[in-house]
Amino acid sequence: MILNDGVTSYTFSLLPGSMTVIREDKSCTAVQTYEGVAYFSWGTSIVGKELSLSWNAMPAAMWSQFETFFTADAPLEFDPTLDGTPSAKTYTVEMTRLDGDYFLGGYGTGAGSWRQNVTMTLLILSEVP
Amino acid sequence: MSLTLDAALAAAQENPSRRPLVEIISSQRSDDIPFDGTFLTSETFSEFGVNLIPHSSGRLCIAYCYGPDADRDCGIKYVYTDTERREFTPVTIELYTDTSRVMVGVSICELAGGNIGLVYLVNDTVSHLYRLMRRIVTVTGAAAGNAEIAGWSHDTFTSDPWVQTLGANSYLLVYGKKSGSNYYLYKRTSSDFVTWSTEAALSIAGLTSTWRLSNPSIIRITTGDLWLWFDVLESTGPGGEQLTNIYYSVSTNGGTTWTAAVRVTNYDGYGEVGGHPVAVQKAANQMNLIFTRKVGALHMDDTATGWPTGDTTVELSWDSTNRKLYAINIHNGGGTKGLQCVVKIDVDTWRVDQYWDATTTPGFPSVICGGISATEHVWYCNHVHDGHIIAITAAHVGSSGRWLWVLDGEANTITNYYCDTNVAYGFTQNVTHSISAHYGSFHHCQVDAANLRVYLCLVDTYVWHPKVSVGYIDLTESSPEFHEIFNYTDIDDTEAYGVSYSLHGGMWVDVDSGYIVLSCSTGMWPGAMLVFDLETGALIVKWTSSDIDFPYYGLTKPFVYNGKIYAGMCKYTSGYDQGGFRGLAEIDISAETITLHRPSYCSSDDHYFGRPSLLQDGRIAMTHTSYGVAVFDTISKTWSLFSNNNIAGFTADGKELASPSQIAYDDTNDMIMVGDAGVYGGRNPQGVIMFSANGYIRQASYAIGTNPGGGWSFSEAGSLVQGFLDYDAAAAVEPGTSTSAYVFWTHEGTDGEKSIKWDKDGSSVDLSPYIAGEVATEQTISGQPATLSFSVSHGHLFDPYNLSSLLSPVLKKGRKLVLRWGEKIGGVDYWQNAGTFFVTGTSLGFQRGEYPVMQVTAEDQRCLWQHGHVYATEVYNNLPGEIITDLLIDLANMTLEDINLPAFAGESRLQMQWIESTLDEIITQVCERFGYYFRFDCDGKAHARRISNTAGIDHIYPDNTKLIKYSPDDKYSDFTNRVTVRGQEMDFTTVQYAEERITQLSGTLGWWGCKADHVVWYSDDKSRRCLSPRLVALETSTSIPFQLAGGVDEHIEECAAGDDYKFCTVYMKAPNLIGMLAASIALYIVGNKIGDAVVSWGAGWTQPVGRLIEGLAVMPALMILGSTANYQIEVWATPLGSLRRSVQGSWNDEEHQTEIKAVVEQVVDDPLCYSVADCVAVASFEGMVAQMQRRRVTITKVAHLQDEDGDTIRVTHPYSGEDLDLFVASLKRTFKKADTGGDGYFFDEIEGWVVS
Repeated sequence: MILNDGVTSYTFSLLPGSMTVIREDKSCTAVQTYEGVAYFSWGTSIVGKELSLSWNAMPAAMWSQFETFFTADAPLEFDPTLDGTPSAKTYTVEMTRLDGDYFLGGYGTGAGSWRQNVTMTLLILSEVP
Repeated sequence: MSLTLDAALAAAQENPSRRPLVEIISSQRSDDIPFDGTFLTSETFSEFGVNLIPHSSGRLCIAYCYGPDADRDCGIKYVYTDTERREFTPVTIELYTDTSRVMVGVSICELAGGNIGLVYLVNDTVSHLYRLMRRIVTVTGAAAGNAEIAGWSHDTFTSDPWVQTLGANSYLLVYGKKSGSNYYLYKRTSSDFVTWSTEAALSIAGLTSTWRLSNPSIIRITTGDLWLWFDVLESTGPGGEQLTNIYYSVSTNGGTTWTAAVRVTNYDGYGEVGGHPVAVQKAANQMNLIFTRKVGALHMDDTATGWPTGDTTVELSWDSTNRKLYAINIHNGGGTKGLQCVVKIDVDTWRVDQYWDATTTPGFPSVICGGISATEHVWYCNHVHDGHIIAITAAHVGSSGRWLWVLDGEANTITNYYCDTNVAYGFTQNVTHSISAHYGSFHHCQVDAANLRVYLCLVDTYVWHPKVSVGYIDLTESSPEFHEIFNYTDIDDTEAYGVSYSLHGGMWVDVDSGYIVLSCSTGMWPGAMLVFDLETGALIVKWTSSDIDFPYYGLTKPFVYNGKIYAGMCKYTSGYDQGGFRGLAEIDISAETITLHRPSYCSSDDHYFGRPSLLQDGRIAMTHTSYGVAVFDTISKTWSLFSNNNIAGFTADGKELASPSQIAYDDTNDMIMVGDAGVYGGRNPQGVIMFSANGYIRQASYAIGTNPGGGWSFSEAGSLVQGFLDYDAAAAVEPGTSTSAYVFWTHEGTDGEKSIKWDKDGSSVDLSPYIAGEVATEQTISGQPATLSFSVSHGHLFDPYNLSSLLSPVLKKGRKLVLRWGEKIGGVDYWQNAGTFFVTGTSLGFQRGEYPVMQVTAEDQRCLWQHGHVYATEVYNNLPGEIITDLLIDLANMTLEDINLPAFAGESRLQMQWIESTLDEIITQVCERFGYYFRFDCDGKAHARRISNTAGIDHIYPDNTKLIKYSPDDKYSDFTNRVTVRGQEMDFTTVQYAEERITQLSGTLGWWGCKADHVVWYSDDKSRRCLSPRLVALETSTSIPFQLAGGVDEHIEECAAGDDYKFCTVYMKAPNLIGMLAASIALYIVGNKIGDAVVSWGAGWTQPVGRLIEGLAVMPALMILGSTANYQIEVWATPLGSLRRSVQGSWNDEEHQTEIKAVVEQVVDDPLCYSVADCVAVASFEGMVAQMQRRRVTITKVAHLQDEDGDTIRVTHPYSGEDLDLFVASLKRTFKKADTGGDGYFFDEIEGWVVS
């Protein structure tokens, strides 16, 4: 799993404990008519989908890199491969959220300590052609 | 007639499962080309030499030179867009920090791997070298390397370089350079953009070796061939003028060999040349050549489309607000000096907008039109116009010809101001005045557009009572009046003649300083100059030939600037100690000093200047007959001249101006416009010349090349941009399209600053990807425009003031939006047009933390008409469809293709002229007369539909599977159950009014045989008609001698029917008693000569026979001499009038009247109803509407693309199950793609009348 801002390509040192399944969302709705139902669908799309990635804990260096990406506030290329081989599909994403807690108590203190309860949200802007 | 949908689309509308689509395309309402352009930056330093490429990533990459800036830095600006080409990001590549290095040009290409290669030429004035440099940057502008490729003496001519990517790791660099006495195009090649080969001259046949070759550019076309474009200097004129043409050569082997050069342009004179060619290819076998056309001056005459016969342009007017030039063409030779035409020119497109003459509507009277064929003179150079207000006066031969016509070129009206009636011409006095009858016509006029006044000068040259008067007419007055400012009589007849003399004398009204200046000059008699106070009319100062510092023969057309009068000397004389007086006089009014300025460019004694006009920076310009356009700097007191000697092609025939004309000036572009009126019997008149105050006009132009097979040919060149110092354009085709291209060019301002502008050909943009939230349209029968509202994401990019955005023009006010609804069926998109709209408003809030969504509202084309004032239409007597079609073509710039009107049921001819209205009101009135409403159909064409409760069913909904909501709703209704419509018959009926006193006459009759005939007009304006005039004698003249002589005759005669009962004649005649008086006197004399007789009878006595006879004679003589008496009579008559009789008709809803036990009547006045039947028809329609408003329901249903406003649809009542037929009075269609919460819809909200 890789995040790349065009300058730095960062391979996650720890895979997230959980992550939203990457699949297209369907845009649809239905309304009850007087004697029936009307269903409207605008098909499925991956664009605009939010991926939520979470870690129970992660090393400070990994957090630091994520934070660098987050504060740079620029589009990233996200390769969601899980097994080390490049994914068939990569995505241009924006990192919209990054949260976590200091993980103190035995794993170090201060800025060099681990982080826990880390969540990161990636908004898919497009699929990289 | 309801819409007919594509069969698949229609079938899909019935499905419970829908895949709706929406599309909104934004485009410019007018043609994209010629471009007006948008500035790329707001920088205040010079930017120039732009080139651009489409990058493989989808970005647009642009490079241009800049500087020196405020810090004296110079270098390259590299600008790139995002991959969707929405936003510009500039990167400054500062190269030098002083002005010793001068940027010459830069070229750009894409390198293998996506980096950007820049090649640029620098003039190193320190080392005296041209340095050819290369630089590599990433696509986002990060530096990746740079070096010098080569350098050589900057005394060697070298032109801008061009670098071209030939393929992966293959680059070709070309530039023009001199070697010895020959010129070559050199090339260098590279496989990595770092190492470059030595230069080698290209071998191109067909060129003369000494011809200068410059500005090369290369395009690789779809066949793989390389086309090398360049310009060639073919000859140099005596003044350094350069004749350049555009050539190309082709290489089919990657630049190794080149074909013989082919000349594309065919300029053969120095007045118009071409240079700086580039080309882009949108589609196979088609190429757009873009080049800079350098022109000495632009010309336009009566060969231009839209300009009627007659191009003796003697007067001009410049409307800076609307950027229109008015050319007033008047015959200036022998014969009648009649008006030829007034032509309105769009200077930005250099095309005729409109013209006016006797054949147009509105038009000028035929008696002043036709040039030499006119009946009346209007003369020339004696009208001073202002903006779009044009004033024309006639110089009537004889007296009583004080007529003024005022053309408002924007309102398209011509208003007549007549101080005199002329029955033969059909002119009826409509201006109140007390102008002396000695003044026969208006000699000079001047428009003051700001205050809507026309100042008029009248001159009486008669030797016994010479005088001059100036006054004005207020154009805002509904009953116009001539307001006299002064009537000056202390002037001799030769001076008065000098004022009236159109060729020389003149008037100038300077509103700012409050002066009226009159110039008297003929060239034959001594001249004079008078200055009056504009407010009081008092004489401020007067110069005459007796003033030794005032030119003896006076001055010509005056002009006031900065408190000084400027006017050319009328005629040189070496007498009167004025041998040194020549040129232009500058008169300080307050100091009363006169200074003469002789042109530095000529040694003539006489200088025939036209009236000066203000340019800017204190410069004034004037025609100088036989020389050109002279410019005098009132600050530095220096002269300059524009002529064929310094602007090649200044006049169309290369000969200098032959007669005076007015000057107009566009300060936005520093352009000077002058009429080339020719001279009668000599040079032909040649219309209008426009040239740059900075010298040549340089404008980017284009020609389209096509190769249908067998070779390429190029069309005639057209203007690519609107500006006249907008040049050196470069272009790139938009990736993925074959119709659209971005064009960037250099714009030069009046201060010489160069900036980059850009625009886009094929500027339509699909807004669908940006739509956020609801899209809603609403169409009603109410007469209101159909509306469209929606929101778009990326609002910051659609902000029209965001110069960094390529999308900033897309939602500007007035932009055209074409809407389509659709359905995805089996993976295929099916579409249905849903109307054309124009952006009426956008709103956007920038707020931190909130995404900038822009709200957009738009309306159909009626939004352009609602506030557009129509002063007067034609007089119609046509069917409604014909009237509406004519109005749309005349007033809405539509064509027949834009109009799809049905035949109106029950239509009849309407006789009407609309005055002071709007197009929207007029069309609504015409439609409603026949029970229709106006609309635009789904294809954006003008259309009308009938409002009816008896129409056939257009669409049946058999069940309630589409119905979502239903509600009775009569909120728009009232209790009207009777409608009465009042109209007027079409024909006029003559009626008599009660007798009234017309006037009172009085006078004196005497023994000498008085006869007093009084022509009594029934009204001052001589238009009123009366019958049966009669006299009422208040006091009658009489005496015994009169009675004895037959009495005084008083009688009245009505005028003949041919005189239309407009006057009568009162005859008063007393008998002539002179004979009787003479007889009495003679008798007296006789008596006086007869002595007394002595009677001898009786005592005798003396008989005074003579005295007796004297006594007999004196008495009647005294009675006769006393026979003078006053008379006083009144004239009474019965006025005649013309009336259109009223007609009316009613409609009654008796059932409703009974139901509510009341009659509620609505009365409507309809000027389009001419009979009772018309009134009844309209009353029935209005009654039906009132009735139907009480039978109104609203429903919401699933959208069905067939349904439209004006349809009649059948739905099922949700409770009773009965059929409910609805006339669709309003349809609001809303669309929203579902968001993550599933909040999406595609509904029709219908307000309908229950007609079943």
